[in-house]
Amino acid sequence: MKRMSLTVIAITLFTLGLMNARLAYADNMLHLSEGISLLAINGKTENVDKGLFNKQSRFSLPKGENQILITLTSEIKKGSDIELETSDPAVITFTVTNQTLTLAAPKILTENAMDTFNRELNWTLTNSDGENVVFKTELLPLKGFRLGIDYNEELKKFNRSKKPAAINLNHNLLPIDSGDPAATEQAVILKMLKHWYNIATPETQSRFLQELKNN
Amino acid sequence: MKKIALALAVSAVALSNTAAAATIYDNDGLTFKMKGDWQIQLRDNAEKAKETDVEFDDFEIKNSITYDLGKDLQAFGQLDFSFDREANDATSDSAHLEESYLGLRFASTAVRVGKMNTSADEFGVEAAYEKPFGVGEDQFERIKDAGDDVIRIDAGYAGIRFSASHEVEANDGDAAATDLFMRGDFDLVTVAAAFQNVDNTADSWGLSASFDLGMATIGADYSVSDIDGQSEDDSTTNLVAKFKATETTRVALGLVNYEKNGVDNDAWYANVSYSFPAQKNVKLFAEVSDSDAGDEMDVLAGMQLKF
Repeated sequence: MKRMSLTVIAITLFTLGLMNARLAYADNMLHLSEGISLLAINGKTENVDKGLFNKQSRFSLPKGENQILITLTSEIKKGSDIELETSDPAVITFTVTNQTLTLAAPKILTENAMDTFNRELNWTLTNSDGENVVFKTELLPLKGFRLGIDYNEELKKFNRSKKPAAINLNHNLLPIDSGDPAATEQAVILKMLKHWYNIATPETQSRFLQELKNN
Repeated sequence: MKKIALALAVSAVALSNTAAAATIYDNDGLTFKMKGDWQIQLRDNAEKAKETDVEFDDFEIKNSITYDLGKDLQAFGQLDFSFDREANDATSDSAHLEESYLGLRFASTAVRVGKMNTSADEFGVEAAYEKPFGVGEDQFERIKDAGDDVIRIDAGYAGIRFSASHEVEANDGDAAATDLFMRGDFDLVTVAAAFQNVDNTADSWGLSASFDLGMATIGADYSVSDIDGQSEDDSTTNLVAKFKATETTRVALGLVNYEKNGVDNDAWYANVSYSFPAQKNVKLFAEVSDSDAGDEMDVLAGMQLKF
């Protein structure tokens, strides 16, 4: 009976946790327009799935403040050739609350236009109603040789600075989907267990601890 | 059509996070970029005399240096090498210089001097990987599109791009040539015009237009040359339609009419290109083409890496 009670509690918490997690992510989507590549989400390149044939232009995000690292690649006609020009990596920080947001960039046709874009960073971020969403953006400061850059480290440095687009990446309560469902579920369960324990009365807390001891 | 054993080694070239960026070094106002365009094809050439062969195309390495001089002024230089000739024929010279020039840029205006493409090389809507046999891309590509002693100015403002170049008559025997080119990008429509005068050889001019319809782009160009010593003008007309079949796959269909010395040649081509979503700089492609001047259809398949 006690084991069944604990199991019921765990299942309930698990279900509620999963529902919350799914609700928190499913309603918060970022859509990237053509040419935009996502390098990192909330300080981690591992959060971006780079499968061989994976064409991901839609990403789920946790509710609240988010930070992404992106570049824009454009085809530029030079004589009879087409060259690819890629912008410098830019950090964009914004808040998402049960919305689908679309990130777009102007059409770039020349090298000069790409240089101008790197200076002006005139991205547009809109919601599903076409309304502009406020965001902060600046280039990720990179100096020296650009081979083998560790973007995770560079973003850590950036977020320790006082730059407007820097954020504290520990504020999100719910873990980002790391691609490992088991790890994500357990993290959610732990969070929910702590949540319910904290809001229970002292008597309920005591009974819960006693049941754990007996099991 | 001969059967071709297409042994395409599709190895996903997993480049690092910096792969798409051509910037090698950037600090204290100095930027060094390296770019490349490597392409290899398995091709059944339309010339009957040629067997199916592996062809190397555009094996280029491009080096760009830019110095920020402050107050919106930059100095820049470019050095491009191409290795395709040596790869295709071991008896030919080793890597040849494609472009080498120095210049100054102020805001959106740049002047450069050296070995480079002329302004009229910007003209044209043609979208074939290899020109159909016996036809040219356009009249400028046929008459002159590059020089060793070129002075060129490029300027752009609010969607309008202007370019003018002059090749000095030098001791290497190349005739002096002056090119003018102008292009306007107006949302869904792009129009362009070009003119070229080559001393003692030809005057050429051309017009082009293309329309971006979202999932498809259609374009047309016409160029004509008045060549000294010829009673009739030579001309080239291109029609092209490019489709985005999926996010990663594009298709291009083209028709070419090429008039030379009073002889009319028609040609067509069709190609498909697939860009790997994880690295769009890696592309697989295939093309078929046919022309009145060729003995049979031209068929090719290949892979391209850009960085």
